[in-house]
Amino acid sequence: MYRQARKGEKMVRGYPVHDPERCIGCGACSNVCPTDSINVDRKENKIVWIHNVARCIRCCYCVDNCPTGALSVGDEYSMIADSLDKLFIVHELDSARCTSCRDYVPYSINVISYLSDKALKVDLKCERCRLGNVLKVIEKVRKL
Amino acid sequence: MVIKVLEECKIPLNKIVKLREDTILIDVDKHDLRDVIKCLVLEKGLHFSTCIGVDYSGLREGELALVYVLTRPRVKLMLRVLISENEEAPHVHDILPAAEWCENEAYDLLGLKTSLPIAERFILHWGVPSDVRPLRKDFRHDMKIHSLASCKLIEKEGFVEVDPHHPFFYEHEDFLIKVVGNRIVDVLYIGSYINRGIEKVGESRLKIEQVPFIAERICGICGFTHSTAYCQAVESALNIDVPERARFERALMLELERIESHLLLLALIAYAIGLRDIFLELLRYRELVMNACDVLVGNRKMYGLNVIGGVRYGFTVEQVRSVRELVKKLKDVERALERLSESENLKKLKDVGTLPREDAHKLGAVGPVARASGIDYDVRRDLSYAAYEMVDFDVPIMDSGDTYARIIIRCEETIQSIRIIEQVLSREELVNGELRTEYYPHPGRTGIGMTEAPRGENVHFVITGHDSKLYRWKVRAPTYANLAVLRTILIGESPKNAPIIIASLDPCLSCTDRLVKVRKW
Amino acid sequence: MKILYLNLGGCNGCDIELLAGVVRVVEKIGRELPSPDHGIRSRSYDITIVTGPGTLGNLCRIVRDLERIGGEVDLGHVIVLGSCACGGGIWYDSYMVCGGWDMFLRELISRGFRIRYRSVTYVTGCPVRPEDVEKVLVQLLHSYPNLISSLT
Repeated sequence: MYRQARKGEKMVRGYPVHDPERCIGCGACSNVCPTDSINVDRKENKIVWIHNVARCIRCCYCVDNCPTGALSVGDEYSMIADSLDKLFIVHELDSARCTSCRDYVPYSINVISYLSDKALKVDLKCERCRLGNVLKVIEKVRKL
Repeated sequence: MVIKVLEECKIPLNKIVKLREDTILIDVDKHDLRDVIKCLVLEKGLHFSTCIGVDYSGLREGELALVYVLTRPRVKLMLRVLISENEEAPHVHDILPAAEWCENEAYDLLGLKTSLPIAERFILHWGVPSDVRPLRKDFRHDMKIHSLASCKLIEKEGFVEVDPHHPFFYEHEDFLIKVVGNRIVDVLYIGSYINRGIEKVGESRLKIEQVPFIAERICGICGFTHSTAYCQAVESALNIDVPERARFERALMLELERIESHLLLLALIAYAIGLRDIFLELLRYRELVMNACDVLVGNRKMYGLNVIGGVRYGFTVEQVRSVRELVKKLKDVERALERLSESENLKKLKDVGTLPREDAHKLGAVGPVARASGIDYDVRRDLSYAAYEMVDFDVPIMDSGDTYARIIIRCEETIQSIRIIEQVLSREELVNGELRTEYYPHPGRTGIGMTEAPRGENVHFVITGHDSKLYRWKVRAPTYANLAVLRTILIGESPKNAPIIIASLDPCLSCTDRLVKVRKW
Repeated sequence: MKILYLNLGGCNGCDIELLAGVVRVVEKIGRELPSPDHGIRSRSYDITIVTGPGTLGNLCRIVRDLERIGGEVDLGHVIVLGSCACGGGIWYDSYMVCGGWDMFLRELISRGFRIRYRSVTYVTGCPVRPEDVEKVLVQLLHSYPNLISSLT
């Protein structure tokens, strides 16, 4: 919570700080943001995390809902600029790849270390490969 | 008790649906409505809160409804009148002037049919095309109507503008008065400058758990009471019990907010009557409250604390300790308030802008305005919420109903609030226990939440919808009810007193944001 | 020095923090700031302070003001306070709201008004903190010494 982010005497619930080393690009923050100021754009081989600080209302609801702890409450409240373009925080993350077809999946590469931290077996497949497997199983069952 | 009252007013008992222990919904026939309202409000003395227009077409096909909300101690009563699309909507505001604004608002925003001579547009009076009915379910919340608006002027010949506020502290609204000799003879209030389409955004873009953040931003002075009222409405609709710790935290923040709001108003009043030193002193005390909020939630305003079913943060022992220090310093505000209430300049306001008790009841005045006129109604005590059942406090009442009484009531309430805060800060429950209850948002449930905002009773009405969104959300801010008394208290007064009389209502227009012509009744 | 203060339909949060900030500025520079205009009454201003997301009602109010003075205004140095005025805040896509100062300005320009300004400073936060208001105002006054010297 925001208390952990406090340093020194000033106690401020600042705008959220994003750690690109831990973000898996799941988009939970952009889903819960009441102002839609966070956007997670899924490009071809990149995931772009964009925060429009101009519109951010410092509710830090995204921090509550971040599954990996990549977001934390900052101790910087204000951001002053002479143009709106300077009020964007943009982080580019590399997309992870499907283990079978090497296509990009809609998560960043941090998802592998995140899942292995959770002691889950990492078998990252894209939707198509997974679906393909399922269809094959169904096909087999039908033939029986 | 309440059942007996309903029987006496000839309401068939089989039409009564008990939604919750304290919430009753009754389907009333359109033709009986006037008799029922007349009996309940004018004879039995129930308090009329508001009325709400609902477009039910998303839940039940092709039906509209008007819901009238009445209260008495420990009971919230909803009278629902179902209307079909081509039918004329009912009205009661000729017998009960308090209903005028909310009925006209429903006619305007929902496009209900009426034969009444209301202004063509009651709220959207900026030359907006007549097919723009924002609260209809087929209207999109992000349809920009700026390019459609012609910005035509409202006729206001013969009126003079009044500016009741401190020069550096300003919201746009027009209070217009007509003066003959040295007496005010007519009053016109034009608002709706600050209408931001909150209800529609809450019903369409936002999810049920995101709405507390927009509810908080309805008002920058009393925002937390709005988000509490909203959460209580949903909690009542979905039958969620709030943990004790959350109740105490809410009560603490609500009272801090009340002190902050009252001190701001009293400071501005002190400035207006020429007591500049008290103005600065009260603002300094107000900073203490802001610091306390900063310590507790990390922001001076917009606490972001409420979620449905409880609160987000738990206060720690250290935080509570440092707030206790601040409150100790805050206690000295009593002396400044005493100096304000004993000043000769304030005593000049006795018998100025008097609001008699019967008028206050008929016009639906709430909060300090009603209590200054002798109406003993405080939501904290009569429809208890948060932790107010578990603390001890008095509700100050005065009978004279003049501007002086309205200011003194706020001084006394500030002192009572400090008393509540001291009790809450000493409770163990504030720092120990569960923070929130999990819930599932069932669609189609109706709930109503009320809080005592610094300015009076604050009503939030919700109907939950599908996809964990709201179907209908209606906010009735206290100033909305209190501005109806403008005409009564201003006519016959000297125009030089008009600013301070208006200021004594503590109008908060970002909450109200409506257009109203205060007419004769 | 002429100050224009436009409340474009905010919730009052920023306005009260502005008041607190201005009290600090007055203490710091030791001179009173002149009381501002709340609507556009003159053709040129030195400082314009903007709060609020730009509601339809306030758009119409400004349109009327501009029509009255001839459709042309110089706003001087514009200070945009708060999330609402910077990017529209939580109601950025509401039907009643323009969505921030930039969109508000675009709406005015599309109605044929000529609006000039020297600089814009965006101060974010919901609400803004008085420290920031103080910082921006003091910085502005110091970088344009003729503004301070015009104060009494």
